[in-house]
Amino acid sequence: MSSTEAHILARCSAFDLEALSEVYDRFSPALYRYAWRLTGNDELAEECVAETFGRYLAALRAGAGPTQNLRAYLYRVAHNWVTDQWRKARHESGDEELEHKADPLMTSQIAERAIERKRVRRALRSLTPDQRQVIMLKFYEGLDNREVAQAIGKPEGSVKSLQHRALAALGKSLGREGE
Amino acid sequence: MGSHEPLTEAEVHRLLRELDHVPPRSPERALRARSEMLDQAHQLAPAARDLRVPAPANGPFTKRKGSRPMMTAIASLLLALGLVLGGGGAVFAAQDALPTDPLYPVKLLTEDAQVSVTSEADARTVLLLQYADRRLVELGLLGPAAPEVIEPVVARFQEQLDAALRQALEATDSELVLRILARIQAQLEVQSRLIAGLQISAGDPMQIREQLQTAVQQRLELCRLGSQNPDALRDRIRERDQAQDQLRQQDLTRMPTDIGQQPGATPGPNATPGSDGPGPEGQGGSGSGSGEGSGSSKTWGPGESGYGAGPLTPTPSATHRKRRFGN
Repeated sequence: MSSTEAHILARCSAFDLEALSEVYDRFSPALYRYAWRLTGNDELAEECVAETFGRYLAALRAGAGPTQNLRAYLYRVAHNWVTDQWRKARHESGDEELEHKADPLMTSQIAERAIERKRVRRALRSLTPDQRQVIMLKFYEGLDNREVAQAIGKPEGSVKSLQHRALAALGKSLGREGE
Repeated sequence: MGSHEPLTEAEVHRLLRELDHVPPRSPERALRARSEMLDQAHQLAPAARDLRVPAPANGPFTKRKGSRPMMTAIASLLLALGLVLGGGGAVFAAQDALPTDPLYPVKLLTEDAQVSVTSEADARTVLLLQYADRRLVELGLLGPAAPEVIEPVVARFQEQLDAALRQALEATDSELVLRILARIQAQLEVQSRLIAGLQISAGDPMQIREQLQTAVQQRLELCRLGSQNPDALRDRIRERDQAQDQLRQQDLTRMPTDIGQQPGATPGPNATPGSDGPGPEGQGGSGSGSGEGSGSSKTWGPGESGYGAGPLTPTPSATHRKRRFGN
């Protein structure tokens, strides 16, 4: 952990609003994209970002919160939130992007892409939480194995096997979906 | 029935790339979310913040500070009365109000009260910057609206930025001064980017954006000046305050003539842009006053928030503003 990050985390723990602003500005755009990819819904993505930071603040208030690798921590919180929403079967249709964007001007090509994205999202949803997190963080967020391991709370060595199993599961799921 | 052949890893990779593109996040919503997060942080940790920041002592530029307790008392009384009379729900509901909503004045009153009851300069800065952000969010969310609705929002945006800058002068600790200025500067840079992409439906969007951008750039310049030489910023503000005081004195001496509307009266020096607004300093109790505010006929318009003596940079008079907004 860099001394800069340690310093910022310490300031966040003291509820230094400037440090919290800095953290928000640095991480919220990526968290939003992360949540949007999983939900396909801008409302839910915003809610995810708000909840993630809300939980972080609550943890700080309780004297907890991460002492290192804040990015991994925030992704973990965001991922748990999305998983919770799915467990609650909220927005069960899962077709948020299509529902929200459906309009008469949507060309068939755009519609096709939206359907493809829906397929991918559904396949991601069928993974175990750890598998999904590995795919999301490695493929989209560019985290290395060490950071992914921190985010999922598993040893670094398990990340590769989780990735391998996740890709295999996605291959099966998407193959089936493609029928 | 299909054979359910699993896809190859390469095919999976190709499909995963379908999620690469994410539609851009609404800048207005992003800013609002940021503001709400800071609100939440502010609510959660007042004790921690109070411990961290030393209370500013009276310094040469804290002449208005002495009246803050009165403002605090008034604000607290208003809030307490509102809550006793069942206005708590209204206060809560008002937080999302737009300038065209009936509850909007409650929202602004709540902001003023919150600033007044916040004891530390840097905490007040954060609040004021958040509230200035709100003005941008409002402009982004506002549908078609008359210039009379927009002008006070723009004016209040400027006034809140100025008030934030004044907080730096209330700090006697030089490190705190620099921290406050750095905070303001960082937020102004965020605001500048936001304004560039702000979708405005009301008035003349280009002119409004230009006016907002100018306001931000002027304050950025002041921040840079203050960061390099806080005394220079103090001098700049002192000079401006003196000019404002002078103009007020002239206004007072001219008042009977003006009321009588003698024929042939010509505009005096107080006809310069930005000078048409200031109410008596300390009108709001905190030394504040006004700024550019009297150009607004709205009761919630600028000049009544108790944020400071007035704009730190010249701002157009109400008449001038009206012309710039195309009316």
